[in-house]
Amino acid sequence: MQVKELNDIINECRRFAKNEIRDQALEADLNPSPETVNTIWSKSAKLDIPSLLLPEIYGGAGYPALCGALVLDAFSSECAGIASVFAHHFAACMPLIDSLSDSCETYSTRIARMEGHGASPAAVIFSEEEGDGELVLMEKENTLMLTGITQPVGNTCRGGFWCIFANDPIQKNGVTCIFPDPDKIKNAFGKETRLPGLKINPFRQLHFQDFPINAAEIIGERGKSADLLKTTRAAFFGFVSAMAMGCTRSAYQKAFAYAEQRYQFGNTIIHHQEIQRMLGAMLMKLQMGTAGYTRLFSEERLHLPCSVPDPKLVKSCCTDMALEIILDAVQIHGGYGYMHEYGLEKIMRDVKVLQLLGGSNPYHHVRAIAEQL
Amino acid sequence: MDEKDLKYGLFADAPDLVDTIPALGKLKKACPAYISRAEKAQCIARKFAREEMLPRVLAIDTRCSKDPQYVDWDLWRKANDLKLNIAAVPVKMGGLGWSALDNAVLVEELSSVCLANAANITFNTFGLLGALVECKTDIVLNIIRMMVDAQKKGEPLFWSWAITEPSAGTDMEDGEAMAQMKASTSARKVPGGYRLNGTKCFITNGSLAHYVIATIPMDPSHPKESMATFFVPTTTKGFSVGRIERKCGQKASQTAEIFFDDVFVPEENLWEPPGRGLRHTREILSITRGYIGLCGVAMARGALDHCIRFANQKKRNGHMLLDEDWVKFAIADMMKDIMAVRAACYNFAIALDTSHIWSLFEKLPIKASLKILPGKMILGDALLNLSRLKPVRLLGSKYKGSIVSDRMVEKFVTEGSALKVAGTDLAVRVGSRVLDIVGLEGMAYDLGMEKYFRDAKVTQIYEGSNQANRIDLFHNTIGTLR
Repeated sequence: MQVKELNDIINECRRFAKNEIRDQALEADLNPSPETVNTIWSKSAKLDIPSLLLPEIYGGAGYPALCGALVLDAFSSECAGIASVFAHHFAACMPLIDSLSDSCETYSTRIARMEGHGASPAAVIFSEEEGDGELVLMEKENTLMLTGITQPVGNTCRGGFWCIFANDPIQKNGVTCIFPDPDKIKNAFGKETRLPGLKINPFRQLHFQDFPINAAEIIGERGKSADLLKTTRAAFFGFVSAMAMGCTRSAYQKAFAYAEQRYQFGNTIIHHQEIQRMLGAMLMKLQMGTAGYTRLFSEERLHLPCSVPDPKLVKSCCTDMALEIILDAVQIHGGYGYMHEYGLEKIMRDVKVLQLLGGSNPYHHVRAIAEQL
Repeated sequence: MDEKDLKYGLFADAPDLVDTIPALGKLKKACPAYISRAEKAQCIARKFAREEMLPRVLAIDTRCSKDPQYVDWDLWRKANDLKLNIAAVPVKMGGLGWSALDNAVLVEELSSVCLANAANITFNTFGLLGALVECKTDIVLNIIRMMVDAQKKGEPLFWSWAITEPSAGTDMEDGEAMAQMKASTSARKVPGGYRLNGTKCFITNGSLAHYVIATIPMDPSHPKESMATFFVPTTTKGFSVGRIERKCGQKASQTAEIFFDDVFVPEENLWEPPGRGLRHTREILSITRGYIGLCGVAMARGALDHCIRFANQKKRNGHMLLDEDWVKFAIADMMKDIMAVRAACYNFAIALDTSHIWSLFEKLPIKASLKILPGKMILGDALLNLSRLKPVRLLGSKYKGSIVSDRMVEKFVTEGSALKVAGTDLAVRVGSRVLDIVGLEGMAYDLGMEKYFRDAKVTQIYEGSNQANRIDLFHNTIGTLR
């Protein structure tokens, strides 16, 4: 894909975010309403955003995952909560991209045409390896049953498709990808996990106890979706990174603009060296984070030790840096940064949730090394 | 709580003040009554925090999210019944006679559960602290009498300290900055008093206050030289409350905009004359910044105590989350920071008792008066009338001035600034880090941990931004040597 084409998409999405999301963001945070998401979702369909990543042969736009990340970056600069709805949807679409099975065609076509469950944002669930959050697919009395309690997941209550990755003891380290009937999933809903950020996107845990799964609901071959999981999870980490950078891009710009007009200690504060240092550090993190997540989606790999980005570490780095950026952006705004109408404190809450999305960062650091042993 | 609960910190069965700050053990041998009272204060404060505050702080937070004007008066009354809002007032006058150390214990225990609700209870001391700066006897006695009367009647009495202006936050707290500030308020002399005009913002309890202590310049073109401090009943014509802010956290503590529209202040309510306003602010800061540092430590402690309890009950990778090595290291790392800053904060509180305003209560004339005079007489009309005589007023002021010098105020500002930065940075760091441990599930609103993160951030901003505190720290130490 040409850089010009990517930049055109970025510009188009930034325009869309400015026109359709900006004015909704603070109200959506204060009084989250499904209607807000539905309206934005429907309007985004006119730009083919819900089907952005799906194959062209099924009616999708056929764009690469990087494109999805750039869309999320642009949307997050106005509201990370809204962007997170798209992020979960994009991740749920990932298993449909490479596989050419009939079921993939069905799901992709419905999303592209905005038909039935395809008209609503899809959701994705990754099973934990062991312990709380683990989902297991097992055969009981000739029926496949899903059991386990998930971590809090987004895009609940939206009515779209569900993409679930479950551990499957049919083989060692087996993983199965399932697209169960969305109407049945509602029975598994736990109560809403009231998170401090991304409020427009309701998160909740799902409780599966001997939840029946039909063979037709399985994507690909049973137990052999470990690679699909890896690809989908990697994309999701990239999407979270893009959102973290998108919302702090906005925070940095707001902090810069505020520092240019706020008078303190005899001058506008942007002329104070310590404020320049803070803004400079924010800019550094923003540039490195953006480079990191865009690089993650690049297929070019250098033969340099430690130069291939590990998706979970990119997510970890981007979200950690995003938190540092937003904490400083709030600080530069002083008391105003802590007040709702300035929108900075909302970004701070949103970023803290992004930091934990897909697993907490210190644990990712541990895993990055443990996996090499 | 179930059987898996760890009895640690906030959830410990027994008070642990001396156990957790070993230096107090040594001090207990030298001053048993001083430390025993602090231990007793911890028992009372922790019981109140755990049994009265903890079960309802989330409900209050939720309610205040919808309605920023909401106050849980039932909780306030329970604190009032225990006299926690007049704890610093001497026993003979009707208070608890709690020292700076005892008040530190109170602030820590309450803030470890919820700083916003703690503020509604303990910030009542503002009135007393403000009066004690100039220490005019009639003002001090009158303020104490009002506080004690209100407590007895079970009626709220709130004080606000109005410093910040829309275009001047840090500038109101630093001499060099104040000289160049753009004031949003002004005062002018009129027969019999002063007229105040302008806007103050981000005023804690500004919407609840019965009295406001306002720092306002007489000449906005020369703010530092003309800054004065006024005592303003909020029933005065021309005083009004604007917007109550919708904040990220600390929602139970109201933050408001207040307006002065030609508010008349009689001569006797000029607490600090023009040119002394900054000094008044600095003396208040010399006390409060250290306490805010302790509030930060308390929030860090509360967040960590919740996190430890959660991690002990949550299964990960076939064992408890608390058994993960990285979790143990992270917790230990946070504990060492909390222990270090907490010990420094208590050191500061003891120094307040030894050398700052609290030492006044230990001086012979005050101590003897409190001992000899009957309780009713101390706050009676006769003594109040006597205290209004000019020589008596001046004597009080002069005597206090001999104890708390300008130099000492700046010394405490320096120490307090260091603690404020250390404690509040810690609150934000720990508030965030515990969420990394407990993950999305532990971040759920109902578990109360995310609230610490939301509440913590503003502590780095108020009481002088942490940048302003660093400037004070440098100027008052290295800066004086150059």
